[in-house]
Amino acid sequence: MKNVLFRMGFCIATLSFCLYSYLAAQNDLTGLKMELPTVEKEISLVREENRRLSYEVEQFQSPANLIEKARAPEFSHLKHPLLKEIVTVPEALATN
Amino acid sequence: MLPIKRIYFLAVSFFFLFFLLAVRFYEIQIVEHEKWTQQALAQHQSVSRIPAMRGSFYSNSSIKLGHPEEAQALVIDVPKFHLFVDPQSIPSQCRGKIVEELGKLLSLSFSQKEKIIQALEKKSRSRKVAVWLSREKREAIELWWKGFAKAHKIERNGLFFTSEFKRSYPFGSSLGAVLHTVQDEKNPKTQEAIPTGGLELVFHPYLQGKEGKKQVTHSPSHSLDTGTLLEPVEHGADIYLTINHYLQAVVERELKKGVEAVSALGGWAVMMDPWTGEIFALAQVPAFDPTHYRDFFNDPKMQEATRVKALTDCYEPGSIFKPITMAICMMANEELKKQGRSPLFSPEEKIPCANGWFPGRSTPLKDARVHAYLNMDMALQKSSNIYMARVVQRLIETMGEEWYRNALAHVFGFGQKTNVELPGENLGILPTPGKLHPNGKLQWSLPTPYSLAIGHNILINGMQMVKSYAILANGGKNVQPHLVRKVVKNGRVIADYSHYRATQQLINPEICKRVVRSMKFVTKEGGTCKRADIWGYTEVGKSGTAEKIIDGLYAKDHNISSFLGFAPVDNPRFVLLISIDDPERKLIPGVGKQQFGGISATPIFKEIATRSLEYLGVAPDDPYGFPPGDPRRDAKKADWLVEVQALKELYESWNLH
Repeated sequence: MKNVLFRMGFCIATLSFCLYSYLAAQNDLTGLKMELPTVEKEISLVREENRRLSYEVEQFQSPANLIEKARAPEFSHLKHPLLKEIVTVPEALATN
Repeated sequence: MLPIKRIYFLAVSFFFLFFLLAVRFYEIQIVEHEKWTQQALAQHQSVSRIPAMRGSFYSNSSIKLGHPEEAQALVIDVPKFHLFVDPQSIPSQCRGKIVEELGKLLSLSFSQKEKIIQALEKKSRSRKVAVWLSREKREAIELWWKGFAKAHKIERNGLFFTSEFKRSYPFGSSLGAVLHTVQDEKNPKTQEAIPTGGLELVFHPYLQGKEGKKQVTHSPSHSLDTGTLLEPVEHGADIYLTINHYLQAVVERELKKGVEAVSALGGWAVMMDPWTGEIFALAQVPAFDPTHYRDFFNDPKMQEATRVKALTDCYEPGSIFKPITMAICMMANEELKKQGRSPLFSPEEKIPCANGWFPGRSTPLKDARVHAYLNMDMALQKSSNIYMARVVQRLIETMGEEWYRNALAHVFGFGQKTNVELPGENLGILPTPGKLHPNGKLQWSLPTPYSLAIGHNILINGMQMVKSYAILANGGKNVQPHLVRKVVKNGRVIADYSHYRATQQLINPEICKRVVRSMKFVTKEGGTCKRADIWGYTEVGKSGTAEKIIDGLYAKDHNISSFLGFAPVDNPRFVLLISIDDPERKLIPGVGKQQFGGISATPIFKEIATRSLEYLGVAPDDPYGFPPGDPRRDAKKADWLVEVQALKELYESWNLH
């Protein structure tokens, strides 16, 4: 009789533990699901900021702006290289 | 018995009640299943739109060989916000304060505030009160509204935002007339963007994409997960152009400077690769700024700038047509040779040019000065009208009018569309024997060939002219001018024209070579276009000045002045057309009349060509060809100076005795 009670107690405890674990996992999952929209919003904000910044960078790097800057005395030493002056290193060699 | 009866009664009652409950469950779960499911879903789920991003345009960075560059976006879709109010949720006593505060935050004028007041008085749940706001502005409004709504017990969504991508142009108005834009308002029926013209219009089906839908599950106060995708979003395809952003900037800048220098109404320029037909730059002054498209379309004076004038505006080419005339006459020589007949002329032949009378003309043709005799080199160098007409007279007498017209139409493509990917191309007018103009006059009469010989009596667009010179530059091959290299959707190339090369041989390369040889005298001493000489490089070209046609009549005091050429001569990197609309008529002492193409358009060609060749990394092929006084100059080694001297001596021996 004592053995049976012990077995029943063990089964109930195991069942309770499994049930608790299941519920805890479900809660964690719900928590994560609730966080997802926030994370998604943050990602979209970062993407949005990225687009805005790339727009501003390209505005600054616009050829008209660069041509204007190239006329400044401090950049007068810069010139476009001739094709024959450019050495192209194959990617395979460059990475070895 | 009594207690047993009661028990039975209670049992039956309970059973009956349970039965009723079961019936109700059946009704809810089975009969009204759909209704309650939908109601539950409506409370917990909603469908949200995923906006599609319109495709972008990218510059051609591959032409700068050996300089790997990332694709440069010419237009970027930046997210912006529209502000809406829900008038029904805002109490009337709060409206004044809201308008006042929005006025401060958005720097609104009195009339703009008035519009918001009117919007707040409407019986509506949604009125748009401000458009295209930045995120900073949105956050500032949200911060203020949070406190204000709480303090005045107004629903939080009394003010709300929607987001939308706005076409933004990092390079400002650069390439504006070619790209165009989309209207601020979408098509109310389809919610599609409405292009204003240009490439946006032509490639609209590729650019627009398709919005997606997702189902979002949420509790009363929280959203749950990111939703189930119902329809995937399809972003628009990206268009990779042949236009190079740097060359475009160089051309725009120098063209603007040049137009201002000669006090002209405007101008346009086209730069094209003669081997591939890729258009590197397509500029015009005044430029169209897509960000202010309403101003341009609402003002009739500014509307002109919305058209790509190198395609939509037709004009008489004038003397830039003369190399084409010579090429056609040499083709006739070749044809006659095949038939075993004598050629029309020889480029070296001494042709009398003092007499300008031609059949059917009421007035004689004139040259800038009287030349007794000229050959082809001298005729192009001096831009002789009489020489051209004299050779064409032989052409008509030998080959006939039809043959001449066919060569213009089918070899060089005049009177036909170039089919560049832009709307509104004007194919011009190439006269046809027997056909009438709208005014009832014959298109082709007896003196027409002599006018055609010098670029009159024909209407062309700038792109047709560039194409014809590209054929001369590439050794006689047909070439298709184009603006698009490839179309890419979701990383997959759906159209690729980047490998296109001119292949169909139209003219014998030897003919092109000979005409180009003659053209080399034009930009040297004794020529009409010395100002186009590019120091350090070889170049050829020809200027032209034509009277503008205003209201169907020639306007003697208004000109279109052009220069069309290419460089370097042996392996041209580009053909470049400069056309100036109505330069101021005045005499520049020691230089010449400013309204002539050889004076007004040539310096622009020179500046653009110099900067472009440097950018492209082309090594100078005339390292001694510099102006007198420059230490780099060597008259004996400089390209073509010996030939120029020999031609000068020959000219003098024919004309000064």
